[in-house]
Amino acid sequence: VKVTMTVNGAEVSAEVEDRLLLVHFLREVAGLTATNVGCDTSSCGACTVLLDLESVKSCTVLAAQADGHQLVTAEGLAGPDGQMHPVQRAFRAEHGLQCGFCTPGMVLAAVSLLRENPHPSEAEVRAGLEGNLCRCTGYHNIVRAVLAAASDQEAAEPGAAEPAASRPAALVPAASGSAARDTEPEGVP
Amino acid sequence: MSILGTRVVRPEDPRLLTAGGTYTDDLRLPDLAGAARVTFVRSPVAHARVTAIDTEAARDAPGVVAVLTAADLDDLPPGDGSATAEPLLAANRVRHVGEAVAIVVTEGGYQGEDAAELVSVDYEPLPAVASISDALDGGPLLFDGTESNVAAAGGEPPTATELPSFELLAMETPTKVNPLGVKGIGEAVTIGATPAALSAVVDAVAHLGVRHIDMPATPLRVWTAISEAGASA
Repeated sequence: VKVTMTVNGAEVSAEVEDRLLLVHFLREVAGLTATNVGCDTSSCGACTVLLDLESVKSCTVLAAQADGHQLVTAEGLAGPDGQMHPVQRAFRAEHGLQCGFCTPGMVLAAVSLLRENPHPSEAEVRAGLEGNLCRCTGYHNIVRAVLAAASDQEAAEPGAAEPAASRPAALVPAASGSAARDTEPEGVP
Repeated sequence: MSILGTRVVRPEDPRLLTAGGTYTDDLRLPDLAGAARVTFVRSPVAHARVTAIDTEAARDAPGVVAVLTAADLDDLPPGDGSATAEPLLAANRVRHVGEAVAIVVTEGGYQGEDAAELVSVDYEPLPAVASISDALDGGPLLFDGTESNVAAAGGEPPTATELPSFELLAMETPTKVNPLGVKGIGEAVTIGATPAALSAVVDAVAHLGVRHIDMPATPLRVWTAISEAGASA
């Protein structure tokens, strides 16, 4: 089957086996290896990517299902100038990673979580990330990082929370502004 | 400036956050171009005699370079020579779910999954030893030439066997597709007492709204957790 998708803002097209998993498409076809395969059984979340800005476990999505969609991986979060996404910066500042294996998936799950709920409580962060497992830092610093990113986003300009690669118009239908604005509660500048 | 008392950010983090680390499967070295892939055929049962392994259909499958069983490895040294040495591939007996029985080498990873399914292994199930207490109570011996299933016990430091007894809730689903033998993430050897005790403390105050207490559960931390839960309720 022929699939074409936009990965981190760039179009990637290939003839692939019907059963090819999205994670293998990203790693082997698109050559983006930040997305890891941890458990092969959708338990661990290491393979989490954004599909149309929603987090999915790419080991349980077929590449064919992503045909025509927008994908964002860890490689696509930073800005063109290399400036890390607020969630990435917070993970670094709060020591939310050690070996880094779960990190790309954890960060993307957090980005998705903050899009749905820009001001989560600690309990909501823990519940929102329960599909992502970390084996070395434990979760305290990760939760702290997500909460820090949430307060950072409040201060940041609208749109700063959008993955950089998604900022091109493709992901925001007909809207010139930021998709983040749509999800922000009233009264938040 | 001294690093003592100062928060230090790690230089490797930006790379891990933006490009990912380089784990084995991420290697893209020229030497690895065209490298074959290995898929393991693993035991679906905890303890069994292996009475036959038929690899013929697998050998004929697309992309297969080789199919190896213990019989093909008899020129390799046999582990550490101890009575409980685990063989590289199970020869005529498997001793845990997920123990490797055959190796399938293919040109592509998906071909390996296909061919591994064609390897036919006959198992004659034997009684399994599924817990530490079962092992302490005797039960069928896993390794011939040993007197018990306890490899080591006693002395310092304290071991899991000396802790109070805990009721364990096993949530793993047995699987033969990974070496650990269970789906999801698990510890091969974990002393559960510490988290179990902490979970008990959290359970005891859960009706007050507490969902989490940082270790160690000092009286102050428990009190603070209760106070904060009450304040946010």
